Amino acid sequence: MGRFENILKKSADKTDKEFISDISGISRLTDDEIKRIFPQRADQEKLLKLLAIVQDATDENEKMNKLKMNIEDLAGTALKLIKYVL
Amino acid sequence: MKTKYIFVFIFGCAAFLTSCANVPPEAVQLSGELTTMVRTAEASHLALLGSYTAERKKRVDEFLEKTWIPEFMETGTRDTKISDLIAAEPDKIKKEDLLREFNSDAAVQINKRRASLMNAVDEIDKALRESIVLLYDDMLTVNQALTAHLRSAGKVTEARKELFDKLRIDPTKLLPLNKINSILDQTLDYKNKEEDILNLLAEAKTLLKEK
Repeated sequence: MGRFENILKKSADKTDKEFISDISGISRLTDDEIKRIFPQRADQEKLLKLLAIVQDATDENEKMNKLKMNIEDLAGTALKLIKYVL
Repeated sequence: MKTKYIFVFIFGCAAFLTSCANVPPEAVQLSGELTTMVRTAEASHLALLGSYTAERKKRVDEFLEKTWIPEFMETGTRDTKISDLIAAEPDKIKKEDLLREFNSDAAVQINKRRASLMNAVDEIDKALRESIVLLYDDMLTVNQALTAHLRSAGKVTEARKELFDKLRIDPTKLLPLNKINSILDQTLDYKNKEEDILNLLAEAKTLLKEK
């Protein structure tokens, strides 16, 4: 720490006070800028509800597809059994 | 009571149409393309933010170089009386030491201001970056849910098509869609009298029975 440090610190603080609005303009965003450039996320509660509904419908479709595959497998097995019996 | 039948008929048709809705594989492909587009848009958005932050940092440097530092040096020179101290010092080496010490202490203050302003800009960048990433994450989550749903619905469509093929049924001929639509349009036109609506419904029933 040099002998001028304390005095120069006060000089720096004085300079800050003189340019307070310029410093604020550079280091902060105004409310208008925040509204303009910050993206607004969707209502999370609503989004989760909608996603859950779509997920339920997807699960139903998957069940239907699984059922179809099971029926096909079952039909194949039934055919083998009939051939074996005959 | 008659109104009830009209609604039952309309909802019946709607339910039948929904069960016949087709999801082509291209819908899943399009949804996948949308994921790529969202990721590209996110990368571009973040790159733009990078440029914006760089521009703000440039403004900080310009402000310090052109405004703050000259004013600070002037105030500091006056407050420390460095010119008088140097003038009063007879030894040349000590004069140089005084000036070096003043410059070094001034540099500490200048660096503190630069760091504080740059940190503020970095904080803005960080907050914006986080909110952008969260927004695109939401978009990707929604699109992934839709893609998964379309994929599952596409498989159902495929299974139904296989079933119709096996049964040798043309699903487009199962229901005279254009005629039924036309009848529904007229039914929903409230200018028609009740008797007209009942006649239209009878016509629709006949069409369905024919099939």
